[in-house]
Amino acid sequence: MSEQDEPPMICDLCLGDSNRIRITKNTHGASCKICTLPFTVYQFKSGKRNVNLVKTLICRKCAKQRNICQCCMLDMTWHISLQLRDRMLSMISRDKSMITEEVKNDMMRRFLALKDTELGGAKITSDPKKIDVVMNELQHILTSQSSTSASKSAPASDQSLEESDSLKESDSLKDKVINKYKSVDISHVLRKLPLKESFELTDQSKSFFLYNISSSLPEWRINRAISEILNVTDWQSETSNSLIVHHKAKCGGIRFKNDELGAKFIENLLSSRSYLKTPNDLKRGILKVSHYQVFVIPWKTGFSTSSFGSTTGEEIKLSLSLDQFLKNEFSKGSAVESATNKVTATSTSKSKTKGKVTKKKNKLKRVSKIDL
Amino acid sequence: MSKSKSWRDRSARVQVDERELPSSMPAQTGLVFNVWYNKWSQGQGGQRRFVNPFRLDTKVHPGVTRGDKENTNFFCLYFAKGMCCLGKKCQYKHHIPEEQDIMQLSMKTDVLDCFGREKFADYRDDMGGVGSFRKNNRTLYIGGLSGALNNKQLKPSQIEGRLRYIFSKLGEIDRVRYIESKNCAFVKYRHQCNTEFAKEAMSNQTLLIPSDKEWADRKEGAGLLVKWGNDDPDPEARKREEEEQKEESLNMMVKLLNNFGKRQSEQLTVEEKHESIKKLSQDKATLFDEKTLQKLKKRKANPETVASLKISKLLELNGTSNGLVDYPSSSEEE
Repeated sequence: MSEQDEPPMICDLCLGDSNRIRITKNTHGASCKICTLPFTVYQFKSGKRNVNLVKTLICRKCAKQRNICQCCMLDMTWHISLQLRDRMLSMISRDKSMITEEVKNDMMRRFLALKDTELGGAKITSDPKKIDVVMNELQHILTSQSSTSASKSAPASDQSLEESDSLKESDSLKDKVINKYKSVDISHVLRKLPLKESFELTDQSKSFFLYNISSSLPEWRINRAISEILNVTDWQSETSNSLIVHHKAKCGGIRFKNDELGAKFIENLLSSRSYLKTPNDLKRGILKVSHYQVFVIPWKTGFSTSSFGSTTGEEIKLSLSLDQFLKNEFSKGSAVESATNKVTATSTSKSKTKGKVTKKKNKLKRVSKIDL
Repeated sequence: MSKSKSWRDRSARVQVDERELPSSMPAQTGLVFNVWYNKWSQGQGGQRRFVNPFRLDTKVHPGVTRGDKENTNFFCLYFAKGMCCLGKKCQYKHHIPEEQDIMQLSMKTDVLDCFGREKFADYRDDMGGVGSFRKNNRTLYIGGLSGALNNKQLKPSQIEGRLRYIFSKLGEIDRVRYIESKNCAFVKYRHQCNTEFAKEAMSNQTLLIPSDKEWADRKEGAGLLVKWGNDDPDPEARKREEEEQKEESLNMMVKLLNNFGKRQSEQLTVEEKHESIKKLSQDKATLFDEKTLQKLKKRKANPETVASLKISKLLELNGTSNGLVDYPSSSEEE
């Protein structure tokens, strides 16, 4: 059968629910988006009252090679995007060949399009039996993963050794960075930060200073976390920037719409015991965002975009000095705790944080396991 | 979301009156006007940069349109640019893309952007335009800042503040980075859909605000250049990106596995059912049970290849899963 006579590869979701569809066929109607060769275009409306015309955008051969729909370019069986499918399969089967490679050269593209092969993840998703095999494998991996990660949390000594090695490396790197930014003066930035404030109910509490923000923590997660604590989504002040995070400086600020919301924020955090005490008797609120902990201090004077340094150098220096600040707070805090050994709110929250930290490690480990 | 409620409760506004819209014909730059490409030819041509006199007001403009009632997947491009003259009669959505829209759209298609325009295999050389379907790009490059400010001298933190304020209204932000030495910025969103929307909404916009004294002359400026961002070369950022992709794939794996488990249990029950039917049919000594007969009838009624393809697939599925009946016509399909 020639290409013109074969039925197009279109997924059920594109075709829609109706039993009868009127389809227009246009031989050599357009150039394929992948291989640039002309192909037979089919056009139809998925529903009678639907305005949008659906049409095939790539040729049947390209679609067949990748096992994707000619209209939506999603996988025919799983209905997910091609890149995601390939990434997933390459993770499961530890095989980089699962990733569909796209050639840049036009002639090569056309040449490859004429071949009768299956590329990347299409080898698996086009065959229901292979899918079953992969799914069983995946099930096996995931179930064994959860059990091993639970049992392996205790004998993590070798892991910690490795970590300390990497820590040393990062320390030397850090020294380099510190030396590089030694000359940068950020006293004007530091002066305005409310590091000596305590996380307690105050009369003016619209703005807060956030620090210990990991560079992989996106802003929207922080936004969500705050909305969850307050149970309202529009806590942001409308007239100015309500959430500023400088990932290079690892800190940021939030500004609530009004003082009441800020007070509620403090109350909710305090009542859920999500705070800790530093040796200087200063309280720090803890905002838990997924597996990260962000420390919070009220900021009476408020902030602007320039409060976190205006150049990259200043930002990095600020992150370094905040790290130092954090270390000081923590090391003293743990010393005090071990000396007095009291079971107070502080230590409970401390242990909580420690638990969190180990959890975080576990999570990371799990991810690296899946990396395979 | 209380914010979303507010747009759901009202119908969309007409952003610009039709009479106030500028002519669709660009200002004369050549000798002959090409109707097909909507361009002047035989002349200097020169793509002059301009400032869009309209802007999407995220507080006032969003609302329910005819598109919402017809359950369309796509957003109005003119709405994003702040110049839709149809208001509630528009057949496309008039609001900022939200989680639900994004889910719907990602299920629908991979090659169309949130305005329903076809994407391309490769990016344009200048990284403008609709973008590529090969990459889930959530980063925007923002340039032309001095032109968008009519060369007004501002402190870097002020520029960053303005950018943050405008772009954070158009979707959930992942991160914003303003590079002062290069006078450009990168905005990363959580979803690609919002990125596409923000790209159209903010290109050729001015960064001036009404309290600036240059506000009256804002149309003299050049407007923002908003383009697709390339991969961040920073090794830390690459690691982050990889981690994110891994997380996404993991989530999808779990989802697929759940579906798979469900389907298997369903199949089991279906098989049980079919076995009981088999017994029944054996008792009655008929060749086909009612269901398959009906399906066969349907197939005869639909000789069109594509529609029958769907059904044949269904039949094939049934055929392989329970192996109940083999009907002679199936060889035709293969």
